[in-house]
Amino acid sequence: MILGRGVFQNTAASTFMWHTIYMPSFFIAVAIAMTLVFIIHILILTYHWFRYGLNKAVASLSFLIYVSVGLFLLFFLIGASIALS
Amino acid sequence: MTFHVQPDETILIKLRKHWFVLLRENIGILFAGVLPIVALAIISISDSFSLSEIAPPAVWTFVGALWFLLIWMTLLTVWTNYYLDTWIVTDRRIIYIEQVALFRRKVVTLRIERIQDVTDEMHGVIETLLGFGTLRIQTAGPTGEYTVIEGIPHPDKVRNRILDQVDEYTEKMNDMYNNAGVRHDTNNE
Repeated sequence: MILGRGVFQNTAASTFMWHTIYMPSFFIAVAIAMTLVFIIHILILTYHWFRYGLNKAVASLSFLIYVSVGLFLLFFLIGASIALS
Repeated sequence: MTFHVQPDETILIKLRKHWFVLLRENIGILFAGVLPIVALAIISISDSFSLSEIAPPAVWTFVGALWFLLIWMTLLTVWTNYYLDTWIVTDRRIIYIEQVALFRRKVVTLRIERIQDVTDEMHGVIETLLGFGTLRIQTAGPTGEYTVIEGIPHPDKVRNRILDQVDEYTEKMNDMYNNAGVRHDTNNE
């Protein structure tokens, strides 16, 4: 059974093997979707912090922390998806 | 900001929910974040099988990064809802801003002269020890509406400050009416 580009499922295998369901484009698609969700999410939150927050310094600090940690995690997510593709 | 303080209006108190409220709302998310780390630690300690037998390391990196990114985004959303909940007490009114959800916001303004009664409540050991609770403000009107503010730090002090301000405002208004009455009488003579 063909699951992805050049990847086949071994239906005869009795034990579960990861590579039998491995789809290269799936990981890339998830990584791209998460990146888009992250960008939209940060835009919404940043708008709220600066529009409704009482302190611009707190809003700026929140933005920096959120982006730093988020980019750090996205780096691993995209890196792993590239490695798997 | 969603409110404008008038030039001759003084801000007396700015309040935010107690930190424990934030912790209480995040405890489930934090637990969900820590759980996979504990599970992986237990699996890696046991000699029965290794993680690389189940899936290649890159898959674990992918799943871990995805999971922590979702946790991180949820934490920030909850924190935003907490951070944007604010109470401002001025010498004329109480402004209560509640960020219910990311796209649901409520702003309540209570005029000092309409405040009838203020009640504070602390329920349970945690609220008593950490010093936070609920404030109920009754305003004048046919229904005698209550505005309930939960998770407020030191509600007793806030209640006293609001009641002091109500008294001060009432005295000021009484003085103004009395002076106006005296002037009116003098003019009649």
